[in-house]
Order: sequence, then structure tokens, then C-alpha cells
Amino acid sequence: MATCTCKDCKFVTPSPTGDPSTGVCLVERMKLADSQQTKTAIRGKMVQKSMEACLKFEAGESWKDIKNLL
Amino acid sequence: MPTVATPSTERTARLKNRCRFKHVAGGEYVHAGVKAGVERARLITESHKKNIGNPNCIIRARGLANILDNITIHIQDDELIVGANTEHPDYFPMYPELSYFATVDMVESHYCDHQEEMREISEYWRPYTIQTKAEKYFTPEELGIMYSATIVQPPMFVTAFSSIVPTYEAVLEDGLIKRIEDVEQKIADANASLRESPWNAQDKLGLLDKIDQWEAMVIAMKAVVGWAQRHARLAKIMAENFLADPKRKEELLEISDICRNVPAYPARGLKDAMQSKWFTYLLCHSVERYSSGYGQKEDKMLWPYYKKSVLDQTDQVMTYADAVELFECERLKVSEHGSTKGRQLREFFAGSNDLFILTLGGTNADGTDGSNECTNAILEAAANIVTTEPSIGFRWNENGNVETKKKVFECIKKGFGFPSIKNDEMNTQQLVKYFNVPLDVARDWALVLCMSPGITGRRGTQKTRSEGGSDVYPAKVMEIALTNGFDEFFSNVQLGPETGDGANFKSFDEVWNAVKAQIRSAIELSLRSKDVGRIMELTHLCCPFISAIDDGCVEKGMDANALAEVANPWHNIIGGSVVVIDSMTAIKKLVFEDKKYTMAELMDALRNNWEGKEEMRLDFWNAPKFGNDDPYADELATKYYDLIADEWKRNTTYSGTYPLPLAQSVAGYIVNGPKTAATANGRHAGEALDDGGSSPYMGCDKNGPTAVLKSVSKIDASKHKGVLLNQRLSTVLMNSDAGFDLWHAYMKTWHSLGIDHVQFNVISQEDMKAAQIEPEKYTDTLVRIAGYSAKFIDLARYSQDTIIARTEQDMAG
Repeated sequence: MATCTCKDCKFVTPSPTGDPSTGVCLVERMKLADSQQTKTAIRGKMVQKSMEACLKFEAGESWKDIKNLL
Repeated sequence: MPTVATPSTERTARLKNRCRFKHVAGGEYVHAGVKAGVERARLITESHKKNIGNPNCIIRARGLANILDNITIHIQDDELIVGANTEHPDYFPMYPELSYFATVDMVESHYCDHQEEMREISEYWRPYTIQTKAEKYFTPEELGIMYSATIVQPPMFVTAFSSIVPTYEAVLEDGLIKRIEDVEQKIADANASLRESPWNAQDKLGLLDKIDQWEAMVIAMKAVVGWAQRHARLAKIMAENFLADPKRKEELLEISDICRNVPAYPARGLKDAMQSKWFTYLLCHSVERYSSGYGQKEDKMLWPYYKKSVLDQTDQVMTYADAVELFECERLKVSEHGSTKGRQLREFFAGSNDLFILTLGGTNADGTDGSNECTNAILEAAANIVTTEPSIGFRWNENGNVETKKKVFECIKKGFGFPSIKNDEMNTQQLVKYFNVPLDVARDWALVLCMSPGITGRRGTQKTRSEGGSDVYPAKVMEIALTNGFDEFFSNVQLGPETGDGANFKSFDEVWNAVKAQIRSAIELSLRSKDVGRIMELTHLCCPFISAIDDGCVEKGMDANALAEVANPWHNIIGGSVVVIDSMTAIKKLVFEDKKYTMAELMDALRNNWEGKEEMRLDFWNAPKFGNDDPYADELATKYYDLIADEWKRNTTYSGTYPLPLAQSVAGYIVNGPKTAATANGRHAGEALDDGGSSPYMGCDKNGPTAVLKSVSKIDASKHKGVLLNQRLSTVLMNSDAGFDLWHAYMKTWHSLGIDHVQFNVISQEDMKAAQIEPEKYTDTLVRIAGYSAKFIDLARYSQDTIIARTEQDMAG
């Protein structure tokens, strides 16, 4: 589970949408079955940046550590 | 083993060590210190306020002139090529006139140190942006669909993304002074014509707009000459007042002489040509407006000057080694060149700065081998300096010389992921057949961006992405085809027409027709947004300099955005085509032929991400897959690629013809994975998509490299502008004594099968895993994403894993 947070968006990673007032929460990660070649699946959820941060939000500067981003 | 760079001179080693790389990872710039420069935005705003009320082309020309007259210029130690798009080498510029969203996104980021001023600037521009101008032609629902980046890429009037092939040859051959004189003569002739007797309004009134366009061109070209002269003065002042090293003094005086000569006058030798090309690149891609790409047939364009300087030794004399050093300098200059993009695009180009791709090889206009000693010098520089950018596209012609192909092999063997290889004969013929390009002109094609050929030369080249570009995302399109057009997984928005719930589909035809209807809807929305954007560009975003260096625009007195002299419409289908093919194959076999599962059971499993249905998932995962020379899966692939070509063919774009689809992925296969629910190929929700246009899904190609090629060859590539194929080759074999022979034999098979494209990763599983643990030892290890290359260590873990997961092909097997 990623615990990093985004400095700008209150959600976990930056937003790959065309509208900067919306973002994509990528906090939900799933380890895949051994039959799959990749290790992780990430569930994206479109969110409004004006929404309250979720419980997993932690203040910080995760953009400096890219390991858990896309 | 880690890749090791071997810069050819101490100068390029120093330049590389201090290069301010601008690549991004996880949507953010990797290097600390990268900032948004404010001068361009400030200067164009200042000029706009003073010039409102003038024709748009004049406003735009004066805006450019104000930037070029006043922006801070700089020359760094050791540089042989000078000029930048911003006031500081750490910066990238901003374009408040393009997209409000893209500007705000950047202004509110930690990259902007002038937030208060930039907020004011972005609000000033808001009503004038092409975003605001274009949005009124779409409903809020349509905008919501496009901005969600789910089934289509957000439109160009929001992303501000564009692509261009500048008409470099006109600048190198003529020089701007001659072109200014020619355009001034046109203005004089037009004014005389207006006064001819008798008065004929039908003939004459069209001249008014032309006069405005020509006057704008003159303003722009004079400003460019002045900007180059500023660099000449700066170099001279530095040489005469601030430097003690006699060698560097001499270099700066030579730089001063070069900038005094070009782009004002024709290039004399290779140094002039490189500098003139660089200034032109900056103007067309970054100063007048932002456009991605590095579209040029560089070996052909520079060959006359290379020949003069290196072979004939008649002007700006240099050795082959000097030329290699100059090309290394060019690669570092491109690496340092910053582009501003909103987060959506920064994530789409994970690990990259921008899509800088030059083109080599192929044929000359007369059909003879287009590779020459200049080609080899460019490839050698790339092999030495080891930078991800510019990437290289190589036009593989059956008659191309083996020596150059060996240089291509050397770069690939080192694991750069480039040159990527395009089928020369097929792509040349396509320009002739689909776009009516004369054969000799078609033979000079270069890649506009990653994968799409466009003509080069003095006129008729692509000027904007609204001519070719933008994306449809097929995996998401198929997902909503099974959920009545509604996105249950990611956005909770009705993204497409109501085509029914997959649970109720009783035949495979119903599945197929739902997918077809959703693809059609996505294509039409995307094309409409492009063409509306095109009208906004030509009305509100004139580009007088880009127009001034195109012979057609000068002749007709037209803006470059308006003139589509040679149509080149294409449209990407990004990451997910093979997920669609494999999913439909599995549905056809397991649901409608074997009747092992019902559509209701499948939809229930997909909606619950296969939870508690692992056995069922494995059945779908193990169903026939594209990439194994399996006729069952390949037949559907052929049908799918024909469908998308036919669906695009129904439409006519601004330039008067239909676009060809181009199947590829950049990092869309990574970014769109988390937005896409579980799919019927056995993929989980949130897993990455397929990494190319025809690359088998990760780990699903099990029958060796020839089987992959045979599957891909069943796609009729002539109907597509490109079909990207990623392959991972064995490092052991590529580095063995037989490496070149094996690879060359593979390439001959690839060519004989009529396949459009292929690009390679040559890096071992062990090295990638070691780089994840000790990244500091692998700083020069590059990998191919799709369409561009990136440093492996700058990719996030999720992205790295998708490269590791690709099947390593054993060519000897």
C-alpha cells in the first residue's frame, strides 16, 4: 500500500486528467497472482480536488520519491 | 552490466555532467532546480495588451518580436550551439495564450516561483485562449468526457500539445534576409494590384488579409534576425571582456560570426547549418508556440553542409571527429531543452522530457540510398553520449547500406531502445497512395512525432497536431461497450452511447457491434475537437514565423495553421488494442463457442475484478492470444485493425480527407491501466495495458520472435499510419559474435513480411532487477517505453515492472 502523498493534490498521486480541478486517486494497489507477468495493479478513481482528503492522506512531498507512483 | 557513456571529447563529457535534464517521472520533473520561466509569458502578455485591435497575425508577430527583443539570452561554458527557449537553462517556458487549464496547472505547481504574477497573467489570457474559444462548441457533458481522459485524449485546446515539422531547408538555403525581401516585394505587388484599373472587388479584396499575413511574416523574420544578432553580440562581448582562455575566446568569436550569419543568410558549412537549424527549431517548437517533436530528416538536410565542411573541406572545415562532437553537443542541447506540459501529458511521457525524435536512413529523392557519412556520424554521437533524447527513427530500406545498419545495431545493442525502425518502402508508398504526394517528395519523409511519417522540405510540411494526432483509448472503449456506455469503474460518467449491458448479449456479433458503436462515437468526438481546435488556431493563434519559412504560405499569403497544402491526417489508437483483441477472442471462444461461461457470468466476474473466480480468470487468461501465430486470435486481430481503419475512413477532416489510424502507446498503457476495469483477457482491474500498437500482451507471446512477426504481419499495415511493435531481445545473443548476423536476419524477415515498425529493448532481467535495488549504478541505462526511450531508474516501480514483464525473445530459438 502506497503511503506517499502529493504535495499539490490532496490525493495520493498527481492527476492524469485534462482538468486540473480533478485528479486520480491511485491509493488502492493490489498484488497480482503469480500467473501474471506484472506485479501490481492500481485502481484509479477520479476525484475532485475540492473534496476532503481521504483517511490515507498524509501531508508530505511524495513527488520527490517516484517509486510508488505510476 | 550498466551501460557506460563514452563522450568523444572532454567538452562533451563536461557538458553531459552539467546538463540540466528536463525529463519527468510520475508526472514530475526529476531534476531538482527545474522551474517554470516567466519571461516569455510576461513579454507576450505585455505585447498583447498594447496590440489588441490589430489583426491577429499582427498581434502574434508583435508578441513574438517582443519576446525575441527582450528575453534574457545566455551562452554557457563549452557550448558550440547557442540559444534557448527561456531566460535560464534550468527553466521551461509557459504559454498562457494556449490553454487556461495547462497554464493554471503549472502556475499552481511548485515549479512556479512567480505565482502571483502568473495567476494574473493566466486570468488575463483566459478569454483569449484557444481553450475558451473552442469550449463553446461542446456541451458540458462532451467536455467532461474529453477532460476525463478515459476514452479519448483531452483535446489539443486543453493540453496545448502540438507537433510540427519546420521547413528548415528554406531557412538554411535562403536565409531570412532574402525571404524578407521576397515578402516585402509581395506586399508592394499587392498594394500596386489594389490600385489597378478597373476596380474588381472579387479579385482584390482577398489581398487585404494576405497583406496582413505578409506584414506579420516580415515583423517576425526581422525579430528573429535581431535575436540571432543579440547572441552574436553576447558571444563577442564574452570573448572580448570576460574570458582568459584563448581557445574559448576563439570559439566564442566564431560563434559570434556564425550567429551574425545565420539565420539571416544561407548556411555556409556544417556549423552554420547546425546553428541555423537550432534557432529555427527553438522558434517553431518553443518560442512562437509550443510544439512537440524533432521532426527532421537530419542526415539528408545537413548532408550538403557536412560535405562542404568534412569531405570537401571548403567551408567551416572540420574532421569527422569534430562532426561527431557537434552532434553530441546537439543531443545535450535537446536534453536540456525544457517543455511545459500539464500533468496528463507529463504522465503520458513517463521518464521522458518530450517526444524529440529525428529520422535517418531511407532513400534520397531519386531513390538512391539515403544513408551517408553524416548518418553514421549522428549514430556514432548517439552511441557515445548515451542520452534518451533525441530518439532516432531509422527508415529501413532493403537497399540501405550494411555499414549504416551496423551502426544502428550498435545503438540497439547498447540497450537504447532506438533507433526504432520503420519500413521505408511501405511508408513512402503510403504517402503517395493516400495523400497524393509526388514520389520524389514522399521519399524525403521524416517522423513527425514517434511514429507518423510526414514530408520534409521547403513547403507543405505538417504545422499543427490538429492536422495529425490525438488519441482514442480502445481498452476503455471496449469496457464501456459492455456496460451500456457508462463508466462504472473510474469516473461514474456516461462516456458513450447506450449500447446495452454485456450481461444480456446473446451473440458475439452483439459484442462486436457494441464495441464498433463505442469506437465510432469516440473517434467522432475526438476528430471534431481537433478540427474545432484547428479553426481556433488559424483564427486566434497565427504563427507568422512558421508561415514565413514555408514557401506555400509565402506564395499564398496564408497562415501555416490555415494552409493544408499536403494533407497528413492521422489519429492514434493508444495502448489497449491487443487487450481488446485478446478479450474478444476469449469471449468468442469461451462464451459463444465452447459455452463454458455465460456473458452474465463474465460481466459479474469483471465487475468484481475476478474476485473468487481465479479458475475462471485463468481460463480467460489462457485462451488463444495474439502474438503466437495462432490463426484463431490473429483472425480477430485482422478484423479489429480493419474495423478501426474503416471507422476512421468514414470521416473527413479539415484538410479534406480521412485520417489513418496509428496504433501505438507511449506511456498510455501505464497511465490508462488504473482507469480500466478488469478485462476478458484475464487482466485485473488496474493492471497495465499492452505496450504498443501490436505488441502482444506482456508475457502472452510464448512461441518465439518469428511467431510474433507472423501474427503482426496479418495486420494490413498499409491502412494504418503506423503500428508499433515492441520486442525485447536477448542481451547475450545481441552481444555475441553472431549478434549482428542474427539481428540482420531477423530484420530481413520483418521486412519481407511487410510489417510497419519494430523497436527493441536489449536489457536483461537481471540488470533491470539490479537497477531497482542499486539505481545509482545504472544512471545511463536506457529502456524503450513505446515511441520514446527513458532512463530505467527514472521510471516508477509500476512502470519498470511493465518493461521487466515483456517477453525476452531468443532470436536463435
